[in-house]
Amino acid sequence: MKAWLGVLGRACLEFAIILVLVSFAAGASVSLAAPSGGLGAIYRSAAEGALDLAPLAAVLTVFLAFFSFEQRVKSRAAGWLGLLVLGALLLSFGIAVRRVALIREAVEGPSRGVAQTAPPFPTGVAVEQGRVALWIGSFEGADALDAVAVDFGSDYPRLAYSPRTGIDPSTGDMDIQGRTYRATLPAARPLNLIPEASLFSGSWIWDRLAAMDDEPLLLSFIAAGGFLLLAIGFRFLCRITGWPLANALLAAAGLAGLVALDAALSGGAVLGIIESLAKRAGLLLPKTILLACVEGIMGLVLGLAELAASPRGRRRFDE
Amino acid sequence: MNSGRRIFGVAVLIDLLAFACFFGYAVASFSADRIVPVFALRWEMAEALRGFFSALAGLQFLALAMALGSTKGKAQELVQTAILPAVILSAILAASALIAGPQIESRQSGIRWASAAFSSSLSAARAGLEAGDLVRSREELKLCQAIARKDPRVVELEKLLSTAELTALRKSIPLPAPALPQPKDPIAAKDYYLKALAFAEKGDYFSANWYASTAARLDPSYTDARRLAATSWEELHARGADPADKERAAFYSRKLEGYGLLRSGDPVGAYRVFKELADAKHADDPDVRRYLAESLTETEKAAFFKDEADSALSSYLIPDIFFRVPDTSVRAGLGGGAKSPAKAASLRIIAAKDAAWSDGALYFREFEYLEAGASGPRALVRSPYAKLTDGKILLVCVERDRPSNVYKPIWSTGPSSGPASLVELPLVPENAYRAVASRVDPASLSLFEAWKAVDDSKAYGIDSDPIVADLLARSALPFAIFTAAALGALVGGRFRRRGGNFPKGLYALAPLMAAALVPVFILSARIDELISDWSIKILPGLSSLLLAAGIRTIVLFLVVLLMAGARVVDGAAID
Repeated sequence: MKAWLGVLGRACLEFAIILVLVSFAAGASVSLAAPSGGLGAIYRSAAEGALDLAPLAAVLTVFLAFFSFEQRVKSRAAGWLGLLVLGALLLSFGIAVRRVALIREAVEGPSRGVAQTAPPFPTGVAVEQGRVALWIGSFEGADALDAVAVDFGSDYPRLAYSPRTGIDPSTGDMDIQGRTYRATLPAARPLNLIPEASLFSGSWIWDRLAAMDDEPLLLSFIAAGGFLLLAIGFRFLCRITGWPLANALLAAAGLAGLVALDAALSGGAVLGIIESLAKRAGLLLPKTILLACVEGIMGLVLGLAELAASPRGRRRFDE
Repeated sequence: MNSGRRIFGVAVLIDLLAFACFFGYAVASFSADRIVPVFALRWEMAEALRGFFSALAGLQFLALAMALGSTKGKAQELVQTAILPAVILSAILAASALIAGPQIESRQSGIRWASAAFSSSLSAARAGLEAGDLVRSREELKLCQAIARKDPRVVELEKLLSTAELTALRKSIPLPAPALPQPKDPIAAKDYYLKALAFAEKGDYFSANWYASTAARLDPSYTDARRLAATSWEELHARGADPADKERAAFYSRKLEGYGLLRSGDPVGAYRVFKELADAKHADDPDVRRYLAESLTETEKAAFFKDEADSALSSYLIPDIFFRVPDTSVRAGLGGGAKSPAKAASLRIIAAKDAAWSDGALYFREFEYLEAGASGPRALVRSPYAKLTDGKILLVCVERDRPSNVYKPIWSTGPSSGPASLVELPLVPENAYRAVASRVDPASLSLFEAWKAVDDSKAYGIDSDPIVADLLARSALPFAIFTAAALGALVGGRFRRRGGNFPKGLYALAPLMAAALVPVFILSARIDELISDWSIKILPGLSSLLLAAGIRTIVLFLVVLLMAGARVVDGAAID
């Protein structure tokens, strides 16, 4: 019991560290799009990220805890239970904190209502817009001085020059030798660290849970519970081979596979099939619950298979 | 085997296997439509090396983790013996990647460009042959042959084209050259006639005949001139002169014409005349030899030959050229033309379709130059070809073998000062090339060149973000390799198999482990990119390098701390 609680406590500490790291990474990526950079933007974005990415930190912690339970807790059933408790604790914490109005206002308040503005058009530097190079010497009021444009996609000669031309403040349009050019820069975009969501018609679990803030709390818990059971089902990876290093690397890949599998299952097509099958079976449940049920069943099957499979190999490499 | 030697052995083995895999992939993915087969091996080697260097951090992690993860012994001893070989190995690999990286990029860019030029010319040659434009087809085929003479497509086209040319030659009927109508100029004709008369009075019937004939050509109704031409001709015959004198007179006249052009400041025109004379079996004439050489020297000062430009532009090209001529009052030491306060205050822009570097000069195609001051444009010129040498841009391009083909500039405004055949500017070709290359292909510049290119790009009004981003990526590589090595040692030490001998069969898991590492590697690379992007946003310019290096040093330090902390957990498999 002492070892069991020890692993649980250590995992909670790991969760805190992982959440901070993940939040700062997300904060840095989001702050790239902020009009002004600096640490302030990172802190604000990281605080928002901490609320959104708590489920990701939780599942990372659960995967790390696979190994800790495997080594420290002799009973596999107790280990399984420990993972369930740990996951439930961390996911519930993440979901619950999001719903505390005070925290949400404190986190979202500073950045709310800040419009994403495009950066100002630079002077003295050639700016490429597709195959058009645009140069502005300086600005004087609403006029651009020494405006030069070269459209490399057009016929030769290409160079157009205007010593002074007015710029439409709303669009950034300006006229150089009878042709309109747009003196604007595209708004900066955040760097998406995991853009693979676009490969699936569904979405990441943390995005789905974040979108359920206005749904009943129980529904969020069910969705998170299904995902947690599926995640624990991947526990077999921590002793799939006789080499712990290989198991650790396979578990890392398994984590990516788990997140991708969840995103694929949450997609419209797969979920539609699940829904039609459920209807045939007479189950008229919301999609979220159906998905949680499917994931939960898959996780339980994997977990039972793992429990029923080969006896513990721990001794082989822990002697 | 101790863990130090084991690390070296495993790392070399994994690196070799990885390189073989990258090479195999490069061979399998090679497409003759994209890259000319003559470059196949060079391309595949470069592609394999590029892939290998880009995956170096991951490979280093895997090597260290596998080496330590399969070693017996106490964790403390293992980590201690791993530090030195890991550091040496990481330093060697990082240095190799930094030195070889730009060369690989440069080689790939060159091959890519040559292949694109080959494909384009091959298509044009085929189109020319189909359309019956054999001259164009031959020109395009020559370019293909310069790149890959033995390519089967070139050999096949050569056969077809040769057959077509032979057929065309057989069918062709030589047409008489149309007589060029002479413009009527009675005043000049009278002058020539008077000169002819003077020569006739002196008894120089050779010159009298030539001048009288010229006068008669200029004004056919000038009967006195025709009569004098006839009488002087009869006199020449009466003296037993060779009828070939007329030919000599024409030769003499052409020499005079060339000489006049050379002295009037048209060396290109003079070169054209003397080249024609040299080609017309007068190459032994001392005057022709002398003035041909003199006009060639003068031509090279005011113009350049198209074959130079073609040679440069058929190699590696930088497209879409646009830059500002740096202000000499701000940027000293550019050399070249004289510093002029008026010019320093003006806007000077150069644009071109593309540019290429060769033998210390920068060649442009479809060149445009704008110089504007407070009162508007002072000079606006365009030229099909241009050559930047120290301090001046030559705008006149001549075909060496066919000097009558001259590509001249067209001035819409100006020139504000100096000759129309060139523009004097305070430009150093090397700096200009570095600046334009930093925008398009920064990875091909050496580390030293890339460092200098940051300042150059700013001076030339070129966006410096690409070159700074490239420098950030390069500076990230050593950190990534060292961090991966430290992390690999940590993971390997912690997740190693304890007790008994390590079953050799478990090494078969290596490919699976490498594949499993891919998602982690991709995510790590993105986080590394994030550090670079964020650093540029916070501190634009070269300062971002320091910021990113600081962040990466902290990450490396944390990893080393973790690695050092692993010493105290010996005995437990994972803790």
